[in-house]
Amino acid sequence: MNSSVLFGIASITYMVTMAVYVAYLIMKKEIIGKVASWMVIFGFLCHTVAFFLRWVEFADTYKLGFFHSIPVTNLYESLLFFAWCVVAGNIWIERRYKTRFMGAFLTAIAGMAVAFVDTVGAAKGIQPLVPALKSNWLLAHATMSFIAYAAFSMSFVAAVLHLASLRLPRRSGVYIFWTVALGTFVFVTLLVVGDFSAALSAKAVEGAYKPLYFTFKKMGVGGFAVLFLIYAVFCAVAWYFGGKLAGLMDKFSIDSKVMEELTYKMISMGFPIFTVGGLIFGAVWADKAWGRYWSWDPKETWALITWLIYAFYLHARYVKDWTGAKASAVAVAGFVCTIFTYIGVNLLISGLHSYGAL
Amino acid sequence: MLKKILDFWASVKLAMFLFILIALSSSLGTFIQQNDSGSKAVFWLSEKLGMTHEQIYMWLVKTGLADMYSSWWFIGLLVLFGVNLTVCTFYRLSHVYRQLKTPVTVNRNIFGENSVSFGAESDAESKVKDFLRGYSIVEEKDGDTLYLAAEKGRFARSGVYITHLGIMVILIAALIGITVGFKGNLGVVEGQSDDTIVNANNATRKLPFSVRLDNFDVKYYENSVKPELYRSEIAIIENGKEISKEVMVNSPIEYKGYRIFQTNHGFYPNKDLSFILNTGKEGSVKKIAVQFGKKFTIPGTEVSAEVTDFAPSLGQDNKGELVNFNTLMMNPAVKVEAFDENDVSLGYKWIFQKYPESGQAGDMKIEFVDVIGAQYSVFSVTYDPADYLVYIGFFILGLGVVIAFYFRHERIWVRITDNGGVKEVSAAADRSKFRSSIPELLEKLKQSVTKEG
Repeated sequence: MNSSVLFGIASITYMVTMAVYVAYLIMKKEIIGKVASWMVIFGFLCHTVAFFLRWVEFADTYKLGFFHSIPVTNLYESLLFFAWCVVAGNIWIERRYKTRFMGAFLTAIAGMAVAFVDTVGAAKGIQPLVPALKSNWLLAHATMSFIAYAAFSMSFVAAVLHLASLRLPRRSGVYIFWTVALGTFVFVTLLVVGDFSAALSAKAVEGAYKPLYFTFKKMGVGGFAVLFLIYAVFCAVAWYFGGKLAGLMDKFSIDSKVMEELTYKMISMGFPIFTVGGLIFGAVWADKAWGRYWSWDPKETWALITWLIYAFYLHARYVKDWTGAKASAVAVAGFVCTIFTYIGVNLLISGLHSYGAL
Repeated sequence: MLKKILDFWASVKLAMFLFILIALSSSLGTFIQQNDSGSKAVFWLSEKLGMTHEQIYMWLVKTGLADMYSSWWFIGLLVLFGVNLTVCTFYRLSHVYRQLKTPVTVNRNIFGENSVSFGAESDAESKVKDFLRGYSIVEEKDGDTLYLAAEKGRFARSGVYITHLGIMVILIAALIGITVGFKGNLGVVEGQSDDTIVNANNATRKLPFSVRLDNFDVKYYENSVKPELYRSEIAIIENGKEISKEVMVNSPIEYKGYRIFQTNHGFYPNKDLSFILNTGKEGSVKKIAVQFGKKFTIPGTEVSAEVTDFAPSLGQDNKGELVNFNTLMMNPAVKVEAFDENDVSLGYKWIFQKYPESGQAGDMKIEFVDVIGAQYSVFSVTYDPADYLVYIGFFILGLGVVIAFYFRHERIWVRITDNGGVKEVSAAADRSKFRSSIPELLEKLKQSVTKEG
């Protein structure tokens, strides 16, 4: 059995599990929740085996040495790894907080990441490394960055749920902010998946794929207007229905405070990994490869901005005891920066980090 | 008055304000491409504001936005941040020092609203101590009542300050690097040498040594256009002495505090190429160097030959005709024409570096070993005397965040009262973070003390 078959099984499992979790949220039957929990564990095991199989395949194919072969060096593999971290987090949260409420949201994130990789097909997965990527610091830098991204996205889900549970009036700035951020997140994710599928079916993907480039390249003013309109609809839907999440949370007696704490916990877990893996190891790697540990490259700068926003959150939460809407709004802002660091920079601004292109 | 000033500089509020200010301002530089008068941002602004590109760029230069990360106001912001961090850290240092030095003590008055109480068997004391394995414990006995105080991870309170110290060291090292260090590029063609680097602002600087490029190689993955490695063989020449080194991507060399990195490479079309060939009769092959278009005799024979053409990436197109695809040196080949003793042409042949058998003709052979002078390599040369200090800072910062976030100071106080065989246990706890899960911790203690066996 090779890794792509197992990746396929895992991705189908995640998507079906997401549907089961949604069914659980609607019907609130314990048995459905249990099925979902077991399915997610099954998918996770398949995914884990597939990950290591691919690692070995990679090492065998290009004879790079074991640590140079970890499959996190391009956008496909890193998304798979990211999904793996999110699912691991989901399993942990279910055990720690004894609630299956987050499952639908987290498997949705993991499922979307994997679905994106799936449309691409596994054949493109294994590619040799260009010289700049052959470094042990890369293993540490890339792997840890994605673990941190996964922790931050879980903090985002928790922060959104916390904000929803506060039942803020629709006119409040914080409410508008978080619902628009949520709408933007869903819109951008779907847009990237759609763009890639379109590019793929038009056979426009050769070698390097720039996210959204296919859609944007030939789009006129009218096209942008339509796209913006769709985006506005997404935000409006999120704004209109965002508050309804609170009712759903009540149904499952999810404590607002638990979500607040989970936000804090996930950021506390991700922040040191991001500091060491994302910033320090990234700097060491840059120093080894290019001779400077910091060059204000757009990707570096945005990683620093993300770090500063989370540092702000941690100081506010720990020293100033912010526990309300403001703190969670900062957590949402931190995740917006995270996404921008990961996708936006490659998309809008180019820099030294061109390896993120597909 | 002094206290007020100190309070201001030590405040977390100022720190949080600076976080946002630095985040916002540094994002500007990612949208306005730095040191680039023809960037998209310049075009966009000139269109929106109706000014010429020059006016816009002059304005960007004046405000420091064109090179904002080294502008006085941005560096000033970072210095402000550093001062805030330093004052804040030292301000609290004595307090933290006391915390770190003071072990937990028995507290008889802590058992109240936030503590748990439950009845237990006579073995309560040993069960409590079992639960507290890994903690350091002090105890006090008062008649029938035993007071315990336990703690672990007191050092975790230092994490925040170690983190701050790490950032301070990095900021100081960066400041030294900016003022004393420098960096520039050095481009050398194969066979030549150079000693002058050019930095981003096109200023030049002479190095105390010169670098000669002896050979540059690109290796590609099999059946792939993806490069596997770039390698430059160089000689560092100082006062007539030569040292040979090899520079590769991710594997720079160091010489007297200067570091030399492989950053770029390219093809340099020119007529001054020399070719290294292995040639002669079977069994007596010699290595020779020949020039473009100059005749040479194949050792041990009467035959002479001449390199008449060179192709860096020779292949066949879909009609089967030879064609040079690019200048990436993917499949270098030379065209060699041979002549007999009367200078009559014997025909020509393409000889491929990768396929030695392509140069076989009867019992004679010519192998194409390498070409010198066809490629150039660009090195980046850096000099930063505070480089090691940055690494020290990285280490401290890494250690700091790990301690601050993955360890915590936890204290548990227990009171065990003997009521004639039946024990009454009360427990309270405190931890340096995630206080909301303290009841859970106490519940665990209760479970493990009251469970059977």
